Amino acid sequence: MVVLGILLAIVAFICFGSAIAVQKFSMGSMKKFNIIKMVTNKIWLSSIAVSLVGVVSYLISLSSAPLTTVQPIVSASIVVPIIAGFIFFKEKMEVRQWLVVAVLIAGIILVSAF
Amino acid sequence: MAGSSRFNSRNNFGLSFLEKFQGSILTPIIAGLLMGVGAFLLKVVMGSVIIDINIILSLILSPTAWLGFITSGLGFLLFQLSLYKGKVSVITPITGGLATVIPIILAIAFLSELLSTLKIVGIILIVIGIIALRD
Repeated sequence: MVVLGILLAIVAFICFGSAIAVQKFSMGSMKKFNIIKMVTNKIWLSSIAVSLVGVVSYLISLSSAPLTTVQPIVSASIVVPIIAGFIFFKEKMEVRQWLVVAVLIAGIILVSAF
Repeated sequence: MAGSSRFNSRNNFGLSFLEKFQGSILTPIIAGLLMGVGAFLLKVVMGSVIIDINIILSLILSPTAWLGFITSGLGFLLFQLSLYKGKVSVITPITGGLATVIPIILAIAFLSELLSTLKIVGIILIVIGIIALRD
């Protein structure tokens, strides 16, 4: 059951992480910030649907694996949009900034694991 | 519409004050603070209700839960606004870090939750990271 919980936590990790990357793609291609255009955009709405799948698998995983195992995996999902920012959106960051981001993610994992 | 680059407040439910937050590094910070406070408020409600069939009713009837939803929602909106102009690889760690740390700090302060050494180290790393990423 714990293995199932971890697998579902990984599903939540992929869902939450990719949702933010899709939101960046959708918001970044917007000419003007407009809430109505945002909530009627099909790509943006698909990110919300993916997030909801993540929420469901997160809740089920919590019922079969301990919180201190599930939470670090789910919290680490922010690495997905960061990597997407580098590969797909060609965002330039200095080495120093990458190190800071790594430190911050380590902090988030520590806080949610203990 | 053509040629007008003005921020369209009419289509943003009168939230024209959002214009000031466009492209600012403060936006992901405020987004993270709001999401963190919202998560804490929902935690307060979830901790005080018995999880059963009445959970949805308890959430609907609780003003704290409503405040939590509104705060989280506003935070989410500001996060989307910061994604509009900013770098996703800078914004996500800032907002994500704050949204993780704020409920923990509030829970220690108001719900007398216990703090482990490794959690303190984690909080320090997140705070240092956010301060360093800010510029």
